[in-house]
Amino acid sequence: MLKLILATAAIVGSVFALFLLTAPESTQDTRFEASDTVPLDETDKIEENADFDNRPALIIGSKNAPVTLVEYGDFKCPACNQFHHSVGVQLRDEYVESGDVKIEFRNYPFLGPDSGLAARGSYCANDQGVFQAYHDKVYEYVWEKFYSKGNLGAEFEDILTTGTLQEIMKDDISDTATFASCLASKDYNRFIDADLLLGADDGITGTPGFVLAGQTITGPSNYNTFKTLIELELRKL
Amino acid sequence: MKNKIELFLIKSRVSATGIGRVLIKPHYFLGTIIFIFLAANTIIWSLNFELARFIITEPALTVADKLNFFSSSLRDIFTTYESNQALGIALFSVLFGINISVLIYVLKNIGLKKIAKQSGASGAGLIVAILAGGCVACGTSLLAPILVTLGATSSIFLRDVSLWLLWVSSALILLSLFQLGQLARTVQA
Repeated sequence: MLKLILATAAIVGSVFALFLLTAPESTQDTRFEASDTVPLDETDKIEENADFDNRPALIIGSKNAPVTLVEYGDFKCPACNQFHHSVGVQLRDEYVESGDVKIEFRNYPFLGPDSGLAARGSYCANDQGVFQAYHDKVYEYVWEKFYSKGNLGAEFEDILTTGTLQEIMKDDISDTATFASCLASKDYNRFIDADLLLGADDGITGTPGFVLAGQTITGPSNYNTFKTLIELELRKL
Repeated sequence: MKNKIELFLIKSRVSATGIGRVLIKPHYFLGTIIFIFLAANTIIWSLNFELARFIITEPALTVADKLNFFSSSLRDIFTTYESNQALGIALFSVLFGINISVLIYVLKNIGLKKIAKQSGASGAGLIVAILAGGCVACGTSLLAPILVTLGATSSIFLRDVSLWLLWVSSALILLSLFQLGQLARTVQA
């Protein structure tokens, strides 16, 4: 009896392991799927519009931290928001504040025009040195106002208007006029296009998506997943 | 109608007794735990097989590290996923684990012929649940290419469909268990 159980467990385990070991690398080019949903530029213009050279990195933590966690997110995405409130907080407490890890946020807006506006706002806030505050406050606003109350359908409503973003950042932005004109201008769409193309190259197929220690993580994952990969990277230093 | 309900309740009790008889055996109980572990991890890592493969093959990680990595994803299931989705994954995995163990028990003691008809739901259930397993709260999933082809692009639609698939596959396994449990009950102790 024990042999039969062990044999079956071995077979199921082997199939699982075999599937893992033989699963083909993701070769699908996702950039068009991603671009189709972003009302920033025409899909066929994204590659020519993307500005990789001048795109500033949106960093949370110390720029000198040896390990980088790249996070692809949409400010309206409920799962991104849940990550921010749970694993994100733990990671900041354990690794970002100690200077071991920095989080590089890349925009992956796909939940309507205001997703694109909020993404643009992240670069506008970064111009004034308050990206981290913007990141946290926009997520906090959406959480408090909608998702914490179970209103997940808000992800398809126009909830992040120019006025809302200005109001959210009123205590942090020193030059409100510049922030407002930056939000209105589409100049920084070139950075968001670059983010999207980087995401496609990284194999990102949804949000939240992450790249850490050379590994792509799709969807929400627990703290230990990140911790394991971070510790691996820190051991190499 | 009343008779049918009574008959169903009697069959359910017989089935539950049969399942219980299997699970109190230490070997089968251990097997069930292993199958639950494998099923849940297969679903949870369905969107990140590359990462799971990396963890399994990474020489810098000890066996304990690797076990901790995969078991922690089960421990944290209710904080990682939305509660409905976490419940769906947990329910499916537990039912799948029990179903495989009872299937082995019945196979060993009764034989393939008698269970062929009743156990068909298990394999199909797993495939459906793997498709539904990865979180599709935002963006895409394994289901996305299929559903997008069919014209569905809403992420809320994807999220709801994946959750429904988990419930449907759990129901299929429950049906399988209902039948297998009755067969298990007929085995002489």
